[in-house]
Amino acid sequence: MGPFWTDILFWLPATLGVFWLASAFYKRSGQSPLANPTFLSIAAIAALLLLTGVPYETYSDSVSILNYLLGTAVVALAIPLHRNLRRLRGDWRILSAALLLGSATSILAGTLIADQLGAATAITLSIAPKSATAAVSMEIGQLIGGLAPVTACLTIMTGVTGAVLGPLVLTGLGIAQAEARGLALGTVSHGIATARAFSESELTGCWALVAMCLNTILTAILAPLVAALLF
Amino acid sequence: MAKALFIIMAFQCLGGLIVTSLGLLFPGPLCGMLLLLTYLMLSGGPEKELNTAGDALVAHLGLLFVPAGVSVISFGDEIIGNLLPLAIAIPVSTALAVAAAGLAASASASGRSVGRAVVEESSQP
Repeated sequence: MGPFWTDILFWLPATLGVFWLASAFYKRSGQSPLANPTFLSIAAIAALLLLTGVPYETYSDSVSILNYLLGTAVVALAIPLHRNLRRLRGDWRILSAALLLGSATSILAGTLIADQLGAATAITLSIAPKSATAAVSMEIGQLIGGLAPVTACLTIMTGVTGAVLGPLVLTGLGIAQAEARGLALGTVSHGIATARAFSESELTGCWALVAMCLNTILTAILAPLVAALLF
Repeated sequence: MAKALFIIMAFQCLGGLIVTSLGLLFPGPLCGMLLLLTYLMLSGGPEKELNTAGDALVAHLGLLFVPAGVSVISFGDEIIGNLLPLAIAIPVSTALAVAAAGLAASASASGRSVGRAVVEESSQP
């Protein structure tokens, strides 16, 4: 029997504890996207695994329930999506314009820039689904020949950069309507920017949530097309 | 709570089964989400219990994603080897996509306010 950190029962509470601390830090920071609790927790757990020399497989076995529930939570997104689709009185045209342009620009600009700068093909493909919500982008990345863990990481980066830069870009372009801001943030930078959108206003946040769910579906259709046609 | 979790997990299971048996290039949980959305639309919306369970799960997406994110430690070399393209492609494409989506939304919104006129992106400030 090894030290306590090799025990299968250790890593699930450790993950919850780390996330709890990271969430407290996120709240104290005034919910800065740079202090995103998921990002901080991943960094902390990764550091702990490297320090203790515990292989990822041991960790993964110990927290497999979270992986299962991640899929459950993705299915459950239908519930707030349904609620907001009913509540928001929007124009189908505005919604589809923002979704299509945002989604296509994210996939095309991301992959083409990386490809031009000499990224390996597997890495370029890992970039394609980065605007879908992380749980799903990872699966899309895997399906189209990318590396799921790399996609996972890049998706979080996209969330953080979109939440930080997005509002500045929108303000710089003179876009002030809650609907347009929410749609842009949710389409491109999923949950992390949706949290940011809710801090602007409830309405902005609800639009961001709808855009996030719908773009996750759209990316699952567009990313494989781009991967098949261009790479 | 059991009934609500049963409904959500049954759709998760169904979504996975459909995707695997048809060999679709589509994520199973996302298929489950579309099925649940269809069910909610047809049944006239979720009961209170389903609402509560769904919101609780969605609120914890950030936590549930941690193990998947940690798997990146096995791919450190791939990331470091491609650091420059990634460090440029991610922020640039993200900013461009936010701008494109925001302009598209506000262009079609101002198109709506002036009637049926088609307003192009270039007419936006």
